[in-house]
Amino acid sequence: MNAKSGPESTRGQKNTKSVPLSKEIQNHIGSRLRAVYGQLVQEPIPERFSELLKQLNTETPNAPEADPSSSEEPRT
Amino acid sequence: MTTTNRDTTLEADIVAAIPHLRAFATSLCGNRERADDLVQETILKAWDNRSSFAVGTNLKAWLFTILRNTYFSERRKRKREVEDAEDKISSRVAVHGEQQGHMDLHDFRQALEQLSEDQREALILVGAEGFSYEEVAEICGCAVGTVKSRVNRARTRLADLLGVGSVSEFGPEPVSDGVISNRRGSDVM
Repeated sequence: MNAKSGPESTRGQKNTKSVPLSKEIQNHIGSRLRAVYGQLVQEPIPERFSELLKQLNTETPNAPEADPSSSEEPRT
Repeated sequence: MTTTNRDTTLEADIVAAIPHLRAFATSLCGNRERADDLVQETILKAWDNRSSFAVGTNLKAWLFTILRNTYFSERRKRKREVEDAEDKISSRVAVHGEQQGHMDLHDFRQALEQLSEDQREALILVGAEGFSYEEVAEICGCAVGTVKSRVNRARTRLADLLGVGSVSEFGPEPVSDGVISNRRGSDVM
């Protein structure tokens, strides 16, 4: 138990015995999570990505085993 | 000869994964532009290494692994350069959806921000992206049991923060225990 962290975690310790949450609560959390995250997923994709994909295609028209020596930028 | 075919399929799969990569990257770094840089880098790396990707295995999980590794190795570098101060402030700027949404979701978003990084990540990958515990263990480079306990702790903490883990279900709060033991303590004194 981390007794010395803020008042918030005192509240948080209520369930530290890890009593399983009811199905209802799990569903509640799950649906909120998907709603919040879903907003991020649904955002329009910026132009730069279609540009990027075009670039990938033209750079390596049919390079099968892309030889590592010729990669555009050295990255670590 | 099938290489071109393979590339085409691969590309289509990458395209399909982009919205998910962006969402995950945003939830990792809390900053949209950095998230897009991360996704771009992920795609470039994946493309460069596509010959090492085993067709028929899970491309999305592979991409998520690359993205996550890229994020953490960059952050390590950055930390060394900038020292923690700035990072602490800027890394978790809350990212809100365009729609400010219901109050409900606003609260949820804030609660999510308060989870530890490990817990939030595990919860998102399992609960929102729909990866299996095994896949998440692969992506995060940890044991399956660790993923499970992170997800459980994340849920419990969220329920707590949101005040939905009703007290009556779990018996009296420990506060009353504290009072009792305090009394005992003072009796002894």
